[in-house]
Amino acid sequence: MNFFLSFLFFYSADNFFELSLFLILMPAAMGIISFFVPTNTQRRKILFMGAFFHFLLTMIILLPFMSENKYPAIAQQTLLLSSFSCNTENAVFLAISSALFLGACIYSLRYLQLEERNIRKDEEGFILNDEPEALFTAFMLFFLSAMTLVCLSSHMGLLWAAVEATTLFSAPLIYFHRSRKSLEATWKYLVVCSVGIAIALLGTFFLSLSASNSGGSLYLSDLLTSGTFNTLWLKLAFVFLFVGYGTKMGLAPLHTWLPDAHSEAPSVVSALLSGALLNCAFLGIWKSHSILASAGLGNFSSSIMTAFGLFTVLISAVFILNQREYKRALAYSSVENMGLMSLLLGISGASGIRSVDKLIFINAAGHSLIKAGMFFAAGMILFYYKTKKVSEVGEMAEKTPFTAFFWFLGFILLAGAPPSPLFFPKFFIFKAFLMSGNYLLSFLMFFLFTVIFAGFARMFLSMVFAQAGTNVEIKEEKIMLLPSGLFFFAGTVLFFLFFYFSRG
Amino acid sequence: MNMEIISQFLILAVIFCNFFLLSSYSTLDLVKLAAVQGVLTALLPLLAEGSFGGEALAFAFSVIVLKGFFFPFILRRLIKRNNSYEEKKREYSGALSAVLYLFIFFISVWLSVKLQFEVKTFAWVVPASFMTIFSGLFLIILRSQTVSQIVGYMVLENGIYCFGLAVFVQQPLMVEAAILLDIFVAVFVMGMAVFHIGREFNDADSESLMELREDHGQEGGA
Repeated sequence: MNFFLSFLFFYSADNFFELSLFLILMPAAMGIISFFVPTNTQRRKILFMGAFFHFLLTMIILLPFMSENKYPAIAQQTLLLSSFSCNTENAVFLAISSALFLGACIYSLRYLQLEERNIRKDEEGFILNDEPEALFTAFMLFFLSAMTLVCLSSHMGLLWAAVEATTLFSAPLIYFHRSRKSLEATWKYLVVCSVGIAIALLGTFFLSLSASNSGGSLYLSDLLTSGTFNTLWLKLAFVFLFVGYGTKMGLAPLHTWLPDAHSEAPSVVSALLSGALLNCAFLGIWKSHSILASAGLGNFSSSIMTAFGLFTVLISAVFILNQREYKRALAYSSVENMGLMSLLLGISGASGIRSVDKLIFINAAGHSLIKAGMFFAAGMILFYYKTKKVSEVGEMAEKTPFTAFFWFLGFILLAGAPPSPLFFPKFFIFKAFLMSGNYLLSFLMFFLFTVIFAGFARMFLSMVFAQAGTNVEIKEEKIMLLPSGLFFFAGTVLFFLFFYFSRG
Repeated sequence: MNMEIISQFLILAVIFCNFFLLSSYSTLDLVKLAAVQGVLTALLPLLAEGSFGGEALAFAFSVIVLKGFFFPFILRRLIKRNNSYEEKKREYSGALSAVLYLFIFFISVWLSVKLQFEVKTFAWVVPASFMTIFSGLFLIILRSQTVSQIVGYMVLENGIYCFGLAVFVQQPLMVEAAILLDIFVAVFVMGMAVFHIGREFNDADSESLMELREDHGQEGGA
C-alpha cells in the first residue's frame, strides 16, 4: 500500500509515461500470475486486486489531469515506447473502463462461485462444462490491459494493435460456457472483427501515406499539427478506419457479430463488451475524425458518421421492437447507443459545436454504467429462470422482487427518461435537427426513440408482471445486484451533475 | 539491378500464389500457398532496402518463422485432427476461378492507376498487394471450411503487409512488433476456436455454425 501512496504523493505529469506503462502491464502480469496459482479462491482474489489497483492507479493518473487539464503527448524521440498520451477523451474512457471492470469483478466474485456449483444443461440438452477459471481470470486481466492501452495510446499504429488485442483477449471470454451457441458466437466475433480491424490497419497505412509529405509519422501529436495532407488519401484513410473500427463498435450494417456475442457471453463479459469495449473502438473513430477535422475535412467525416449513426439507430429500433430474447435486446440497445454517439460526433463536426463533446461523454458514461448494471441483472434472471427468452420469464415482481425492481429501474434509465443521463444526448439530437431545419430527420429520430421505448416497455412489462411461462422456485441472490445498484446510482448522479453544470 | 530483378520475380510469385489460392479446394494446399506467400512478402522489405541491417534482418526472420513455419504447423495439425482436407462445396469451377482471378487482377491494376501511387519501392507491388487483399477477402467469404477462413485472414494480412512495403510505411519497431504479435495471437486464437468447433460438431465446417439467428416466430412459440 505504501507503494501506491508514494505514487499518489510524488506523481506528476513528468512520470506519466512510467505510470502509464505500469497501468498497462500490471493487469497483464497479474493475469499471468493467476494462471499459475493453485486454487480458484486465490484467482478470484487476484482478479479483484488487479481491478482494484487498476482503478486506484487510474484515479491517481487522472488527479493532476483534473488541474492541468491536458497532458502533452510525450516527445517521441526520447523513447521508442513513448506512445502514450492523455487528453479529455482518453481520460474519460479510461475512467469508464476501469470503473466498469471493478464493478464487473465484484460481480464475478460471487458469479464464479455460483457457476462452480451450477452443473446444468443448455437448451439442446448438452451438459455445459465451463471454461477453467484460470483461463477466465487470466483473459479478463489481459483484456483490461489491452483496453488500457487503447485508452492511453497516442500512436495510430499502436492504437490499432491494442484494439485488435482487445478482440483476441475477449474472444475466449465469450466461450466461457463452452456451449455450441457460444462457440458459434465466438467464431463470428473473431472472424468479423479481425477482418474489420485488418481493414483499419490498411486505413492506418493510408493515413501514413496521406501524411508522407511531413514524414508519414502516425503520432497523433504530429498528425494533428501537420496540416499538410494528401486529401484523397486522407479521405480514403478515414473511410477504411471508420469501417474497421465501426465493425468493432457495432455500427449497422457491420454490427452482425454484436447481438450474438453479447447474448452468448456470460453476463459479466457482456457488460464489459458493451460498456467498455465498444467505447474503445469509438475512440479510434474519434481520433481519426480529429485528424480530418484538423486538416479541414471535418465535414467529410461528419457526414459519414451522421449517415451511419442514423442508419444504426434505425436498425436497432427495428430489432428491439420485435425482440424475443432479453439479452439480445440489451445488445441492440448498445448498437443504438453507439449509433447515437456516432451521430453526436457527426453533428458536432458539421456544426462545430465543441460542447457536443460533453454530450458524447455523458452518453458514453451513462450508457456504460446503465448497460453494465442491466447485464448484471440479466445474468441473475438467466441464473434463476435458465432461459433467455422473454416469453418464458414472468411474474418477476412476485418471484424475484429485488431483481424486478432493478430490472425495471434499468429500463427507465436505458429508455432515456429523466433522471437518466441518456436523456440529454437524445434531446440534443432531436433539438439539433429541429433547429437546423431538418424537420423530417427530427421527426424520424423522435419516432425511432418512441419505437425503441415501446419495444423495451413490451419486453420489460411482460417479464416483470405477466404470467410466467415456467414455474420455478427461486431464491434471490441480493448481493449480486449491488454493482447494478451502484452503477444506476452513479448514472443518476451524472444526470444531476450535468443538469447543474449545464444550466450556467 | 539484380535486386530489382529478383524483387520483380518475387512479386510475380505473390501474384501467382493468389491465382492458385483462389482455384484450390484442398485446405492443405491453401495452407502451403499462404505460407509461401507470407515468406515471399517477408523477403521483399529486405530487397527494397538493399541492405541487410541487423534489425530488419531479425524482423524479417521472425516473420518468416511465423508465417512460413509456425502457422502452417498449427493449421496442418488442425486439418488432420478435424479431417477437413477438402472443401465440401465447390462454389465455382476452375474456369470460373480464372474469371474471378482476372476480375480481381484488373480491379487491382485499375485501382493502382486511378489512385496514382508514387511507388517508392518496386513497380507492381501495389497491384500485387491489392490483389492479395481481395483474394484474402474472397477466401473468407467463399470458403466454408473454418481453416480456409483462417488462411483467408492470413492472405489478407499478407496483402496489407505488402502494401505497407509499397508505401514504405516505417513505424517504430515496437509498433511493428505489436502488429506482428497481434497476427500471431489472432491465428493462434482462431486455431483454438477451430479446434473446439471440430471437437464439438465433429466437423470444422462453418456450415455447422448456423444456429444463432434472429427469432421472429410468434409469441410463445419462441
